[in-house]
Amino acid sequence: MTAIIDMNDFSITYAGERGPVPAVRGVNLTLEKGRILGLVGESGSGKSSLVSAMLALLPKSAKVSGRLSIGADDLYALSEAQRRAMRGQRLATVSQDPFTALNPVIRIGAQLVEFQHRLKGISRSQKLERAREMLARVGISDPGTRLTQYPHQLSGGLRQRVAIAAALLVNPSILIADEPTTALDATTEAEVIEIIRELRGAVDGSIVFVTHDMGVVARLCDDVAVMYAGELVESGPVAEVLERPQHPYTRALLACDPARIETPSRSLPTIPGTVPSPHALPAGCIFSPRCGAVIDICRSVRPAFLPSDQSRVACHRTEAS
Amino acid sequence: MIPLLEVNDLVVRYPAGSLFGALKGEPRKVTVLAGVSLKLNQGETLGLVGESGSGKTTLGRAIGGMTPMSSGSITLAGVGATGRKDGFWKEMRRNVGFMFQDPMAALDPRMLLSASITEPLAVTGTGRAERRRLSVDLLREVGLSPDFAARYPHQISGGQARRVTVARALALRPRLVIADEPTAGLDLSVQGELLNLLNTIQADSGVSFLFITHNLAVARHVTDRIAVMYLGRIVETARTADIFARPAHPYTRALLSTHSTDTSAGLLKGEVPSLRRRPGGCEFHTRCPIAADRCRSEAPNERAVATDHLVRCHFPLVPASEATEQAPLNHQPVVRSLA
Amino acid sequence: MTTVEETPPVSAPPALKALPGWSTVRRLLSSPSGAIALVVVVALVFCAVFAPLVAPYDPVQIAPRIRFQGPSLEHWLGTDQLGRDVLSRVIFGTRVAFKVALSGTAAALLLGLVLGIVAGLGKSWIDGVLLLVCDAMRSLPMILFALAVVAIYGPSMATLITVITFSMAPGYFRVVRNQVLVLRNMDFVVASQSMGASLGRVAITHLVPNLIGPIIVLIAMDIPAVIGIESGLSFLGQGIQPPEASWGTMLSDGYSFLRQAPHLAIASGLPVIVATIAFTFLGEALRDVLDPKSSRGR
Repeated sequence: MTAIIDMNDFSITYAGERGPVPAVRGVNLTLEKGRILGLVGESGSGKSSLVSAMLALLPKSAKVSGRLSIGADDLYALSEAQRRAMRGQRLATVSQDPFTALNPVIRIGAQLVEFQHRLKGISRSQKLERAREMLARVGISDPGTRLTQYPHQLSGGLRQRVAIAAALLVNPSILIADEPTTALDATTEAEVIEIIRELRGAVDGSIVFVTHDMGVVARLCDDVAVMYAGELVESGPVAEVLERPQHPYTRALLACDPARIETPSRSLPTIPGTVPSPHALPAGCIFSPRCGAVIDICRSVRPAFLPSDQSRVACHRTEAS
Repeated sequence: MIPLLEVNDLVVRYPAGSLFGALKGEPRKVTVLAGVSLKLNQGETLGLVGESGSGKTTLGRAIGGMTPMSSGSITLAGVGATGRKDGFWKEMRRNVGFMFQDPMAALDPRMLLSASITEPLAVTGTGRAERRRLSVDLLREVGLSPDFAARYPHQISGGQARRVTVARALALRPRLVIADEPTAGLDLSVQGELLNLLNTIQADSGVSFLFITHNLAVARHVTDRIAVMYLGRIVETARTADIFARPAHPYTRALLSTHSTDTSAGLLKGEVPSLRRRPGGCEFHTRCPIAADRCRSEAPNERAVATDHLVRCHFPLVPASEATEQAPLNHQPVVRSLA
Repeated sequence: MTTVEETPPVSAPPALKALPGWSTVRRLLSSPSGAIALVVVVALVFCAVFAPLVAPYDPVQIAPRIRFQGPSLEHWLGTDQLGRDVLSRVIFGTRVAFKVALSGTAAALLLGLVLGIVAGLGKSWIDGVLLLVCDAMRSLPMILFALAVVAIYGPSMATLITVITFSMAPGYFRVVRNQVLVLRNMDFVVASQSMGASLGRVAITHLVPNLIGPIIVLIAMDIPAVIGIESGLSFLGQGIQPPEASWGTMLSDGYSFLRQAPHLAIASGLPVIVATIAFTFLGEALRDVLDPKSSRGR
């Protein structure tokens, strides 16, 4: 198996008004070709920063350390120009908001052709034909008409499908879908997820699906990575992590999900405490102030991210057992 | 038992469309609510679920007096109103608290939280000192420390902003709180805290909630009854447990299936039709997996399939055991083309 | 019940900032152009307010024996064709410029604010009528309008301020009205109305505080234009009348004696340029500081 994404001790630090903000710390994550990774985390987990880093879209104030490889290339050892080329050819993204992803004053067809500007040696009409085929593949009926329409003439679900088609047109080796269904209705969301599942073969690489919905992860993903307060706390195959979560945070998060609670209850579980501010991180394990299974060592030593069964977990309790 | 809230055949129409559109035969008015009736008892939580465009937010806003009614009536705690300018609204407003979908947008960015929370009191003429004292009480009630009173909205987090809007909704000690998507955008762990808070408040004060949400997983836990809306109509009303165990409307069943891992049960094809071009007959027939000829020509009336279980469908889905007796003979499922 | 202490996410961009206060000034000073602009504007305001104390001589004191003197230790900027001290006249000219600019914009602002709120909140026909009047006024070339008014009422400071008020007000009206149309549909305004608040109450508690920020920027940007109008009209002899010192009248004098005493034109032209640039920079710096999108310096 070849790794499409490989992160080694990868960290992102922003320059902030009150000193440096370590938004992402020491992430070790590998995604193999052909798999769909669910990247899960609540607000402040650092998942958005990590996505920006994978897309080489970090702001200038961000400093990275460690290694983030896309295929064989260390992304942050490349020059700015090489990174930009990478962005157009091997990385593609579907954003959260289908209303801003497309230019409102340009016809869909022209936009889809423009997305292919890095593909050399094929004519405009061939590009238009590719666009038509791709629209058909994402389940859009009458793609010929859609090509001549403007984005505002399409509904949210259709627009998100057009965005997916646009992303796939560049034959990316990584497709990053950043919460692509949060702005959609439940029935439309189900459709879009169905389409991504059907199209996974069309991506000659891997898909990273950012979400906060464990139900979506269960339906769509092969692997899952759980982030908390800027650190990766657990990763592994979906079936393994969702059925036998090992990190206390993963467990707590799953327990909080109302969709996973069998009997209706007016008193829902919560995670006591709050996410620590990046300016005042606790010593030792990042989750120790809120953890129910905390032991002495958790408050002083940061746990290593170690393999445990089929997963990798950063928890002292797992290491001990 | 007299219900706390009674909505009767409520219709809301907005003027819309251009003169040019009217020439092409498009309607100049859009019917957002097409005759909604519902009842809500004291201390009860009614969930209002549906997709965007179903009219659930409009219904909430109409009951809160923020959207003018075109026809129909709203009666709250024995006081009725039939129009926006109605003098009864003043009396009704005392009994309704409203939580907006986006708590940050609902708070004036240039106003201290203490002033925002007690704004309903200020409008009704409560003095400044009294308001400051009450704002601290209200903050405590929603689990925030008193020093939040002297903060501005941009200094608090999304979860805290939710609590602040809860506090404001409670300021007049209303008998009904309308909560529009109270957990939208909240993290799972914070969502639980907020729902538990609402539950505690209800247990302590006996307030009723109209809980508007698209999240069925949440609705299952926090509501007593659920009303499912589609294109400005309530298509099914039942006790929460019954909605989940025995959904009678095909739309309800489709909504429920979107959240299960097994999607084969019935993914809805197509999009919600435009309010400007309402389908004839049953308005769901364009997406319904079991639509028959009758559905295209004749609009179904609301009917009871069980106690407290109302459905607006010609061919309600019923449990397998009863299906043989009740399934209509002319029932012909239609294979629909992809939208 | 337990008290929840959450810390807001670090990078959460505030939707809109609180009222400009000390922190605004501090942030203003942190950018070089903003700091310089602020210092210059404060200095100009100081000169304007304390002109009699700052100016070394009486600005209208004629001394025919020392006409057209170049800059010297006694007269830093020299003397004019009547032997008056140019520096003192420049300083008193600042006073005139500011008096006209500030009272003109203040009156225009008040007019624009009130009418803008009325148009934004009121019935659509009121809005329509006000918009029509506003657009009609904006279509008039300002200088022609000014000359016409002066021709009817005669040149004076009062006429000047009136002209400025009526030519600036439509701009403020437009901005206020458009902002009110946005604000009136925002949830906190809808919420306030749903609580039974009157329109007047909504305007005072919600609209005005939220309009102040953008308007302060607008004013800072407009003051140079107003100073330009005052100088221009005075230059044409249709504004401030001699012997009162105004940058425009002085410039006019300097123009007449450009061959004999170039320092006159330079000394009266320079403050116009400095004040204009300073206010423009201040306006831009204020916009950056008050604009929520740039507030965190991403």
